[in-house]
Amino acid sequence: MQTKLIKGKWTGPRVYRLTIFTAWYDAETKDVIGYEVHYKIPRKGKIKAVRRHLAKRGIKNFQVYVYRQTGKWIPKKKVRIGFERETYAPKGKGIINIIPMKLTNYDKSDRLWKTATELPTRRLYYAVKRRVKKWLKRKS
Amino acid sequence: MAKTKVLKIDKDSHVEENWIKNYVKIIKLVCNFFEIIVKTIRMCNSKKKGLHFYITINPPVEPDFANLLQWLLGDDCARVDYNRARILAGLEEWNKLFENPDIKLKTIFKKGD
Repeated sequence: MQTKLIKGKWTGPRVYRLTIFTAWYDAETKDVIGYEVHYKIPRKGKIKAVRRHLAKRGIKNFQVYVYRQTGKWIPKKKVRIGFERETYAPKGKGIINIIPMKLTNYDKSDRLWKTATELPTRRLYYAVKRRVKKWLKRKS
Repeated sequence: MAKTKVLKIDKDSHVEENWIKNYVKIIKLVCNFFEIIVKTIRMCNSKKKGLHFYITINPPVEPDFANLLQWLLGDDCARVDYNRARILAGLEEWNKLFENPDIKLKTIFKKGD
């Protein structure tokens, strides 16, 4: 792998790992349900800028995903996010890999979820897709 | 699931240097008890109120056993529970420790020193 060090600082791509989590009490099933979604992408650029953009894309995607799964809209203040320490990557990409996980069967005494299921993986574009407005299309 | 060679410990308190030196000795003792060699121990400050330790071991161990080792070494209990749930789900990247951006790890032990 070609080294991308300038004055001892890594300038190549890094792997970013974002985890978003939420949990709530479901009165119907009388259980605490949790959703934890992991987002991963190798990306070049300033760490703070990439983290900011990834968090923005991730939170929106998370809210929509949980809504489609359960019919419940999670407000931003109920969502917890965390970034792991970045690692080196050989190449950057424009697609975020998403691994969702559902947690059920919460044991109050042990304070532990007894059932954890990995859900089908998904993908999301890092960059927001540009949509050309209809009136501009007609004009051209 | 793949074996892991890095243990991650989250300690929710800041302590003196002497205490950290003693903690390094405890880590080596516990790992030696299970016939595991500690290669390096690196440390950094956590986001809010404590310390994070990254311990490189040899040989790599199964995820369940790695989680047990982390718990024995005083990892945050809530974190141990979340790790258990992720291992139950079969996630490859189950060992998660959240950090601030641009965090620098300080090597406090290296085998051969």
